[in-house]
Amino acid sequence: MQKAAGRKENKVLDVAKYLILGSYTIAILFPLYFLVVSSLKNDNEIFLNPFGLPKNFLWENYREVFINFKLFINMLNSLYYAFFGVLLVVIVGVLASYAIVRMRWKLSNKVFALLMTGMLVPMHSVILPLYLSVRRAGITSPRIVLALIFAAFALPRTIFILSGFLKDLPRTIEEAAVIDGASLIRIVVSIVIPMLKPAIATICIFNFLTIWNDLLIGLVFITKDIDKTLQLGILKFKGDYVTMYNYVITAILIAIAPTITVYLIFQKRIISGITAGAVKG
Amino acid sequence: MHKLYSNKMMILAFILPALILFVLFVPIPVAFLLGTSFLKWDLLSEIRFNGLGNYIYLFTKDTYFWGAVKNNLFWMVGNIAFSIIPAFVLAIILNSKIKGRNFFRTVVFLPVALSSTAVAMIWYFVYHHKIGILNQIIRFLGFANFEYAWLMDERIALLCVLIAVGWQWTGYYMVIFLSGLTVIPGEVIESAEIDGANRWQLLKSITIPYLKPMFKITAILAIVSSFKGFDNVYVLTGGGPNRATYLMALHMYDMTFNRAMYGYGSSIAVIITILCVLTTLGISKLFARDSMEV
Amino acid sequence: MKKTLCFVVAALLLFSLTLTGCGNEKADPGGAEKPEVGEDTGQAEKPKEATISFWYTANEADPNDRDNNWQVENIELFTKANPHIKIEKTVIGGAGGQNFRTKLVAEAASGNLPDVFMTWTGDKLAPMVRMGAVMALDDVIAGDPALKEVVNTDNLGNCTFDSKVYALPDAMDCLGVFYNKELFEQYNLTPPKNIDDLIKVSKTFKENDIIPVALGNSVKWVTQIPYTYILTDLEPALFDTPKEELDFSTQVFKDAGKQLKEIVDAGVFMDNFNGVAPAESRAAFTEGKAAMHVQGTWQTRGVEKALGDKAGFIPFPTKSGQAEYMLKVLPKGYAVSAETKEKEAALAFLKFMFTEERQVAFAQNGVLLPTKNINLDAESIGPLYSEIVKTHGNYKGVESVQTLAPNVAVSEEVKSVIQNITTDADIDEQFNMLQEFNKENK
Repeated sequence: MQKAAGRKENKVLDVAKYLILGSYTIAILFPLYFLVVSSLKNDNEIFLNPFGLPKNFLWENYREVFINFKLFINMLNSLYYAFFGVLLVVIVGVLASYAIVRMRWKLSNKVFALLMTGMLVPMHSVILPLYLSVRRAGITSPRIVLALIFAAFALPRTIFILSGFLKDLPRTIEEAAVIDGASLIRIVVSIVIPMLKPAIATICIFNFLTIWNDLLIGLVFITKDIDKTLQLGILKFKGDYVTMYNYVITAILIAIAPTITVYLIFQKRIISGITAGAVKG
Repeated sequence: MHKLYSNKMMILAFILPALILFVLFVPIPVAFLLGTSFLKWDLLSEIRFNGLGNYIYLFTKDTYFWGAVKNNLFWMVGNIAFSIIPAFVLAIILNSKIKGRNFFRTVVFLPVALSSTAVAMIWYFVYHHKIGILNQIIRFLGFANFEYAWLMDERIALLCVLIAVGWQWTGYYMVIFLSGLTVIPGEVIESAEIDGANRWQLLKSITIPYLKPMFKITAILAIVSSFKGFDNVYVLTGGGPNRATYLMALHMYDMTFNRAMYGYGSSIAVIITILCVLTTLGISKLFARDSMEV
Repeated sequence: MKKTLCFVVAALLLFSLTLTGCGNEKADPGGAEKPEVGEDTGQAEKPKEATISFWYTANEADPNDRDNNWQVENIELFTKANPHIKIEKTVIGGAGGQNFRTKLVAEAASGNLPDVFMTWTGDKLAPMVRMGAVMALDDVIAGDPALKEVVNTDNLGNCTFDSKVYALPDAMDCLGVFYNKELFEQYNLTPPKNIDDLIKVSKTFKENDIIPVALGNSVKWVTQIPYTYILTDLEPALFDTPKEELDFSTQVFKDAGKQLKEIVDAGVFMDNFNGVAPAESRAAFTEGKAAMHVQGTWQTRGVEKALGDKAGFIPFPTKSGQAEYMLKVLPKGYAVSAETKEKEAALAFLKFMFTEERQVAFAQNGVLLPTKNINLDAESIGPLYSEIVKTHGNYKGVESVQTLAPNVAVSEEVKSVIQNITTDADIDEQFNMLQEFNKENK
């Protein structure tokens, strides 16, 4: 008796589940569909034929936005900052994590705790003083400084993930290498880094996305159009005086296309980067 | 072995870069921030010492700040309502036997990967009063009279922004809940089911207690992110209309960069930092007290 | 332990060094330069190659932005005529120029002002002048007869500090009300002179589904326009008060606020105007959906393109209806950095902007020139524009109320407060608060 009623309840519940999931999926995918379709129309068509496929595929919109409005350069800039930021944080982070986890020194726990406090502090609090010192020092080109800032902020979480990973790795291979007379550097390069590959991949992608998606730091530190990141670039199209809606949409799509691609390929890593902090913390 | 791993020079070489990078760019600026918050400075004229003046004005006379604080509180509640609760529900659903689990997880998490700027621009489009998706749908369904300039109405602008934020971040919290759900040992659930527990009892007595750490984390994340909230609002409304969507971080940005009041802006930043730190520590302590014996 | 501590202290010292500006990293353009003196061979030398940096603010994404159109042309023509000079421009748009001002101030603070730059004048230029970062232009003007001829000394008020001129004004703009002559005729109405008229015609327009006044105030400063007119009407002498003595909590400010609120409550402005962007309000007007449009004459080109001679321009109505004053502002100008390494090139470019041909071209963008003795052919400029040029001289000029503030912080607050009083805020309270802020931040 109970089982039969249970089955019926199951069906209703199942339908409800799919309904909820389905509506949520539509809520997410529909705006994206709208954007894609609208990016190939002109303003009038967006208004008159909002949901249908474009009559003429206006690929020129993309060329306008990408080249004439220089979004291409913005994209390269974002790539630059993300690449160097990630490179920096990985090198520095791996060395530091190894020191904290494997090496013997009295302060290792205290240093680790210090670095972890960095996760408590929001970026907003350091933007001002960094901005002031950078300006007073007369540094006009923000490139290196920005990469450093991004790396510094990515450091706590990176070290957290890397040390967590390292802790669980057996020391046997390293110990064998020591007996064979390998230097520390050798051990790190040939043994540790390969062992850490999954963790490093995770933080690479995770940090890459964080830097790529940043707005505030770019807004504050970057002045010239040539240096602007992609996020700043798309803001060009939303202003008090702008009325070219189809360009706005095209710009948004150009901005999210790379992120969606990276996401679809590296989904698992991105998610594990988030949950690593959550589960172990 | 021990010699190699206790070599002071090597240890320094390994840890110094991180330490210097971190200390230079995080704790030291925070210290300077504190110092600057006691000054009056517009970058060009001389620096004037103002003691606690900035803080006194902030707490007693700055109505914009308190308006922002109120909005930040709404934001907190909104985050919980539009992000955490749906995230929890979706996680429970995705953890059960359904088809296409990976597909749904991919889709729901997708907006998280997008930048807040892009998300805000997308929703700027949804809410646009002329060619926005929302109004187009309303028009399509025949309710042309209900078209509205969503983001221009002071009363509902904040709600609209919160929905956009929820759209972006639900996936994030969902993934955290999911990771917590997957570690619930199968035997516990099975034995409960054998004992005749129905769905809701399972939920109440097993799932939720097991998820306590997840609730703690998502609560911290949600509250802290509400203090830090900037990107979405800056792009969607700029704090308007008439400060209806104004937030503390926006106030800091406005005072500092639009009004050249660097000292005053610093004091606001200090308050934001203190709030973030206190909240994180506070909620941790709160949840730590009733940690479950498993 | 000791070692780490030493390192940390060293890092601290390093960081504080950067703060005090030691080790100033001013990018040195061009490296070693050939000495200008000493070439006394008497032959016509090949002109020295120079690169100058030029900053201005404009909305590059707006095809009607007159500053951008003009400057792009200026740069093109100048570099064609002077191939040895390269101009590196930086255009920063957005948010009523706040972004631009912030970044410019940052450059000034680090001693990196661009060679030639657009700037807000008055209080916003004063700190940079005080720092000694801006070049005084008196000698330049005196030494160049063509320039001297066109510079209108009446318009140099905002550009003069301690009796020296530090900038040349960019454009004069009138702030007031564009109106659609056709719509007024259609309903047998005349452009309103006083507030009662305004409310009356607004009622008629609303009954016929036409927005009476399109006003987009998402940028906060547009409500200053009606407010200043009302305030000036009540007490013109206010603008002669020295700033240290000015008290924003005096009754006249509050009365003006109440009159503005009256207008708002009568439904004269478009719905949700505090959330509407200026471009939207202009669109509402140019598409014939609104009868009037509160803005500045930098919009003339856009308005003219859409409505041609159907548009007119009047001062905003006041209580007394005696249209004595028109809001005339000269907010921006062009200046030269005092530390420029390319003095000749920078000044050459500046002067180029003020040659007759370039000024005429500027005028054709719908600009009231701040200069004099420029011959404008009435046919090459539009009907609305010529009307404005003709009539604005009939009014005494007054600057917007934010110029009563002693510095940027307070002037921003003035804008905010005037926006606030158009909502449900308590008017007396708002102005009291403004005065508190003024006292605190003078």
